[in-house]
Amino acid sequence: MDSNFIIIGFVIAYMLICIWVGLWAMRRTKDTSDFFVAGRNLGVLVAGIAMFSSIMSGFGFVGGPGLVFKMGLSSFWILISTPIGFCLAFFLLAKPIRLIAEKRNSVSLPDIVDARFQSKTLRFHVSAAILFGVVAYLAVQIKAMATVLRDIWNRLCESQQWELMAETLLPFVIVSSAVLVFYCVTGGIIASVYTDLFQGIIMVIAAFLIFIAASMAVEGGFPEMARTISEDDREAMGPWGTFGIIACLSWHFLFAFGVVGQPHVVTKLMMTKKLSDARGALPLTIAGYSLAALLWIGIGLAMRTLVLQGEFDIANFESQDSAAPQFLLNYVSPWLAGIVFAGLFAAIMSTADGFLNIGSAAVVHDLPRCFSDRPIDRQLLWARVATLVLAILSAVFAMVFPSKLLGMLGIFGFGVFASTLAPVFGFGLNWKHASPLAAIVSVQAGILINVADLVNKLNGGAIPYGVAGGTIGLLVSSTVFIGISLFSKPKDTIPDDVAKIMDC
Amino acid sequence: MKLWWLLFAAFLGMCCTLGFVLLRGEEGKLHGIDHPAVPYVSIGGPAEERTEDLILFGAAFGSLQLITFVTMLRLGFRDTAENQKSIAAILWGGGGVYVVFFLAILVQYSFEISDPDLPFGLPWSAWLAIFIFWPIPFFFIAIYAFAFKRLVFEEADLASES
Repeated sequence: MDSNFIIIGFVIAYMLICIWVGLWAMRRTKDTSDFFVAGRNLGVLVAGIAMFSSIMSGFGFVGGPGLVFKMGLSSFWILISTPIGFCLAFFLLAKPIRLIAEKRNSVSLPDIVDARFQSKTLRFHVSAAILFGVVAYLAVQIKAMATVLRDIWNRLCESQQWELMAETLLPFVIVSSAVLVFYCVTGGIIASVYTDLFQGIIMVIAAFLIFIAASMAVEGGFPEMARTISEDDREAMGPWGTFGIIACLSWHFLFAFGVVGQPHVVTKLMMTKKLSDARGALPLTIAGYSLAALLWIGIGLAMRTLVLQGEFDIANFESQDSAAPQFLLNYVSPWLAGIVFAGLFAAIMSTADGFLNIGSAAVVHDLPRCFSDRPIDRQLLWARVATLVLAILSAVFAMVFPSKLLGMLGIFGFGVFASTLAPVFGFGLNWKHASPLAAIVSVQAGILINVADLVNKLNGGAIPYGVAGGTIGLLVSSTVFIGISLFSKPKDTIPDDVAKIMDC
Repeated sequence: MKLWWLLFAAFLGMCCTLGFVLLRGEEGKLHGIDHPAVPYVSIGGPAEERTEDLILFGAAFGSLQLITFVTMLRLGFRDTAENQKSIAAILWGGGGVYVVFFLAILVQYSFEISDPDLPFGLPWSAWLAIFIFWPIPFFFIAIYAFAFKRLVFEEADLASES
């Protein structure tokens, strides 16, 4: 059988599964609590796997191997930072977020922030920051999904000599968005976490098999890869890769402390059945992430070696992100490639679904609450409408903006989340002295620095030494938060129930 | 409150270190240049030229990060009299090992700049980073998982759940 049929068969099967998951989850979605926080009913296994797979997204399948291909060991610092990042998220947030969510029946992170700081202004800032990042991220996910779908389709047309090759992304954006919207509108966050579970399991199994395939793709295995890459450029296999010390350490900081501010990850801490589930979820999350990293490392090193050895012609590459798809299409059995491509779609769709959910919560639940204490009527219906509108808006962005700008928007989204939300959640929920003013100024500083970095990049500028703009934003917003809180007089605004939770 | 002053000092220290490096500027492109023969691939070039005088800044920036992270982990523990000794041992022990191995990567790297030994193709500093530094957080994960009911969680927390 033609390998392209096998791959596209897996992708179509996956999309059908998504539709089925959406319908199944719809039956379990009775109210806004089900729609936004899965009725706080996730077990250890589902929560643990959903957390690691939601942070992996399409980046783990495509962007990560591309970075190893381009920069050698530099991007290992992203992988190295993540275990301590998850530790920070669990140590700082698992207990207060879960307990406040339980006490206050909270369905979103701005609910938690409002319960702690009693500030509508801060609630507005946090909701706006979430919405900013969500739209940026979503457009990237939809474009990534449409691009992969188009490439697979064109390869099939080429092999079958069909004259149906697609130049434009439009039909693939429509198909991708339609499936995404269907299962997201129907199933809400329940559909997302179960797709995360599916993605996580596929990722771990596929990563292990791909790692073996990568070691077999180069004669002599990993020692030979390391030797070939080192002989070409010693720095590439040094601890800092080609990107250098300062850039790697800036990633280390951003991707460690930044995890604390990623709403699609942190929200899952609200969804567990019991607080004590966090105990098992943390090791599970990190074990899953570390195993999935094998895919990232294996493909990146193998492709760099094969290209340097002249074993692989780079003519088909559009960017370093072609490394993973090209490896799968040329060095792996079509059955395994099909599974990994299905996993890639699962990664993109579950992350996109998570963002759609958080974004719709910001629109129908959080922003209206900034102006009125009364929730809007028929919230579940409006949440579904908001999901549809956000998806359409992001699909339009995906079509209108060039890929390079979208890539920048994706980085902007991560930076905005990290620098605006990490100090507010991480410090605010663990320090009674933290003031609402400090939190507001910190969010503003985070947004301003990330916007300035985006504008600078759009004008062709760059920060020296490859330092990430998000790192500067996170450093400044954290320092401002602690500084203002330390030097201001505390106001006794914390409600008793929240204060009690912060004490325990 | 002391903990927050320590965190403030560490964050301020990181801002100053990074700010100084950025204001000093970058002569040429020291964070990777295009490979002369292969598109989409970058190379670092000679290590002496691009990193030698950055090692000290890297040591300061990285060590402050680790101190900050371990201090923040402290916030997740229950602050009771009977826990104080265990927490101190975990933080001083785990945090100390974390910083020491990070600095070891940098020291080893500085020795290798001109003439790296490449056992199995990797310099020793990369071995240290991948096989020793990367797994260190598993110590904190083990603490969280195995000492959860003593150090992180108490029955009163459970009682507050419905």
